[in-house]
Amino acid sequence: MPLDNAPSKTVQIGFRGAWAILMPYLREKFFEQIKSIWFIVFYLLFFQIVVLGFPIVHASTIAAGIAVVAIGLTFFMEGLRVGLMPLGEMLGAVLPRNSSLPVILGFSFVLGLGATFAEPAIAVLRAAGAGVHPADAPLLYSLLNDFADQLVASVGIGVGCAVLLGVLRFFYGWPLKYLIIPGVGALIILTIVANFDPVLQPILGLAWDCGAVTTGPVTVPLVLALGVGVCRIVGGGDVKDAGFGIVTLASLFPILAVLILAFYHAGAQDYYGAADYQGLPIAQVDDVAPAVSIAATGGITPLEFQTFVLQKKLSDDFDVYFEGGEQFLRDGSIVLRDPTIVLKKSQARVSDVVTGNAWDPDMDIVATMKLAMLDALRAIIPLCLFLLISLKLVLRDRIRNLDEIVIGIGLAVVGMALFLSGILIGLSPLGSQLGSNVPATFTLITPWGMSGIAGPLFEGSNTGKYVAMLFGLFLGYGATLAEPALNALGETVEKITVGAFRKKLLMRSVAAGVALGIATGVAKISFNIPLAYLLLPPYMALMLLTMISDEVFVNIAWDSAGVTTGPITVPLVLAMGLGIGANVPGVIDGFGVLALASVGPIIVVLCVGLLVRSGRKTSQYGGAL
Amino acid sequence: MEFCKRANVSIVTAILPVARAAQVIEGLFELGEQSALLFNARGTVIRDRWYQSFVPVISPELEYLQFLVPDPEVDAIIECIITHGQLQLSSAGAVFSVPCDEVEYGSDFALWAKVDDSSGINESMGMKENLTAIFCIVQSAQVDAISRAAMNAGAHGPAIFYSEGRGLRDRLGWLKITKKGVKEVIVVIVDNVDKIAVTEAIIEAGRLGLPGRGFLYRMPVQKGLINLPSIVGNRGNSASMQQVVAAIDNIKGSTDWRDESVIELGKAGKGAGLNLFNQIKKRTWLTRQVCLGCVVARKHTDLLLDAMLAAGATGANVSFARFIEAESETTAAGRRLNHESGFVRCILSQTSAEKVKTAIKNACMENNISDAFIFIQPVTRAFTYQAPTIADRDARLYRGAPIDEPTAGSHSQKDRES
Repeated sequence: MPLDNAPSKTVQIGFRGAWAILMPYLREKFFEQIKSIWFIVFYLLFFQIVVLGFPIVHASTIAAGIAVVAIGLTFFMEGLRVGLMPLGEMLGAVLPRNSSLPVILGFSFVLGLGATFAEPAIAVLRAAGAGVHPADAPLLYSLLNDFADQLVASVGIGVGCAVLLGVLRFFYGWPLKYLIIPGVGALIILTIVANFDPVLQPILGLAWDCGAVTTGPVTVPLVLALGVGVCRIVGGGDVKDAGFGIVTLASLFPILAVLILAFYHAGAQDYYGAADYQGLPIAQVDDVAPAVSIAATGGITPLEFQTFVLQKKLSDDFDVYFEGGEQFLRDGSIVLRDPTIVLKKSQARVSDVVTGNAWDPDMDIVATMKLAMLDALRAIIPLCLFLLISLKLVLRDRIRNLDEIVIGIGLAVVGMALFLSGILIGLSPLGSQLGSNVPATFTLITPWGMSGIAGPLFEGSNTGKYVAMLFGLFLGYGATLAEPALNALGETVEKITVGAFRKKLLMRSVAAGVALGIATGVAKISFNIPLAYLLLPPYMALMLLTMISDEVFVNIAWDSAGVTTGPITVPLVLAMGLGIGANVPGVIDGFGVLALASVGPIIVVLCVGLLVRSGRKTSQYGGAL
Repeated sequence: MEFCKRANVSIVTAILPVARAAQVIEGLFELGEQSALLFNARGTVIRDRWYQSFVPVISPELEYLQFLVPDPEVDAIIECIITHGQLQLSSAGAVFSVPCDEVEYGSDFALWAKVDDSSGINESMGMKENLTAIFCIVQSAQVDAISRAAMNAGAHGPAIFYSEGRGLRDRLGWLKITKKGVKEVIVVIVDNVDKIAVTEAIIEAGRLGLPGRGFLYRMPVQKGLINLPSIVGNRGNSASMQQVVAAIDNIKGSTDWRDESVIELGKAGKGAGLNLFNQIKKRTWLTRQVCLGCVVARKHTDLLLDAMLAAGATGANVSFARFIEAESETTAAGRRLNHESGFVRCILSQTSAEKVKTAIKNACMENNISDAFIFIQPVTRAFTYQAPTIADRDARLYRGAPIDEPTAGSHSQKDRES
């Protein structure tokens, strides 16, 4: 009866007391999130207003949306910390002792499969492939439309196999290197083969992006925690694998799965336009806004010309240029003899905002919130129920801290709903505004939500494109710092290494890597470089780096690749990719940027690891470490 | 279900680089050890070149291993750890043993059965006997300053592991989600000659005299070998200053030759705290304290913790560790399937320690927990913020006479503090 004579097991706290405890806590967590998103927000505003010189359209809506994102992230991260991650970890720690290996593997597969369906990335991929015309890339078009279900299924099976193999790895103690090197090798070979096939070549971007987008903000922390939990139990003294690696495999296997699917359909000849095509003969094409040609907006139309011929008058302002002829001064006046006179419609270089309304009238907050809430529920609840039921079945005992976990799941749902709607209301419109305005650096466009035209802002054929790459660089850096999944990874890494590998260092390295990747991606689109030429050399370099790196860094580096592309980066990057792509002739899709954004962090983190190792060798530790 | 009681048991702790831990554990299991507690820890990075401050900070990962060993076996165990962990090498790690006053354990807890008195220690290992272990529990943000100060005062680079500060959090109901009390435990083992300077340096740097800053306690170490990196050396020389000092220690057979005044006056608290008058402040130490520890399966930790708190412990630190058993289940590939243990520790007065221990035992009996292990270790000094009250002032008088140094437990003859 030690508990009975306890002075008080719980402290009685009134509403005021609870409020006094809760407020500083919430404030602290909120400012933590503000710290992680301020950079990207201010950077976007700075670029739009100062560099491009355009005003922000619908500024109040966007501000409200960003505030909602911050609040949502606060709740979501707390939900992860209090509920989702402890749940995954507990299950991971309970599984190895209480069930047989086949059961564990089956569970892992279902978890991976379920996670993919819970957070479907197909919408993102559709958006990236919005401009795909069946004639240009028939197989890609068919995969996105006719075989969309198969695409999702193969990605799901890929993730399922990845989780299965990742968990199996812990039981056998295989180093992650031994799985990565053959896996990436196979991907490189398939990519080279596909690159020389005109039908398969366009799907490379889709396949590699699938790997990047499958791992979302709910899946990553859960899977990470599961691995950490398993590794708390399995193993001797060596903590070489501390639970990482599943996320890595979950980003490699879907690529493989999609490539195999593509090869199958290429072989079966049942894609659009091929011999055995079963779909609709006339395909529905989602037209993106076509690139605005100068003649359409800026030139003098034939109709106006006719008016001019008849009435010797132009309706609008026009500029007069004189070309050629002789000039001389006579009695204080300049006389031109035999010049060619050119009349050009004068163009307003400073464009006007179509509407002065700071609140976007088309934005339906309630509907957006409802949509986001449904998405959040679908992403979190089935997965958590599955985990809770598995835990209950395996444990056959009372689940400890169930109250905390339930509160955590609740926080995660509310948080995710809020931040998803915040993204839809604020961040995404800001991103697409900016994304479609960035091409103004190198070409003539009509700015988003404005009338008139603007650009090219920079002299020289390529300077503007370099500015766009620079924009991508900082966009990648800022957006990555705000990613919830990366925050969760950083916390886990810091916890597992007992503070040896700081969260801040990891996040900055990863963000720098993403920045480089996205800048390369912008180069890919703006100069229309084939993806294979940009993907293969880094991945080959990666194989080398992986071979010479420590296992610990291999684990952390490859896992960070999977978490970089989340709900904040994707809309911003896609909007920019599509915006630039629409203004560069010959670019058919916005694919590939995300895949490039995944390579960068791996390279940077591995390099940091090598740097640290070389620094340590020279220090006092000698050969002991 | 009953508790066995045993005297003459020590806790041997090894601080090793990750790569060596597995060999050491397996080596000890061959020797007859039954179980090991494995904490993840990190070391402290030392930079000896200015440009290294541009290299990112990633501290070396360490393993903090604890073994329960009957006293006669301590020498053999330590020797085994030194051999397998190659601790004789410079900067390779540390091993030390702290005796327990009392040990009680449940029937399912496997403790070393055979006791063999014959094995002796290899003298060439250069083991030291006059050591003190300093433990300091603080918030993460204070750790760097404290580590630096301790090293300036002559300690090696501290080993640091995580611990959860528990107590009030468990009484808050659902509001407990607002508190995740992750604290860091800094472990430094110093020669007795350095202990005052290092303790002062830590207290100054961590400002432990202020409310809510942290807790420090010292334990007498029976014997040990400390080869953790300490003094920043010049790479141009064939031996670092640390190696030179260690070599002279070896020749002299003690550390008494070292110049105490330099360490104590010149460098006390140089790392962070301001010490204008270069003198040791008068501290109000917590006296007559012991360290009550309890190792139990992770799932039962909360239960025992509740019992401890109810029985009068003001707070406790919980660290979770892998509990590796010599005879454990394995996976198909021969990897061990371990248990997880909670390691609950609290510093309290001798009288309440008995009460709390009884409470833990009662809780174990009631809930049929048979794998608990309870021990009491001597604490020579403890320091934290103490609210000044009249009761405190009286407590420092024992039967009208002022108390200076407490005598703690049956091991006090080994306590070289006095």
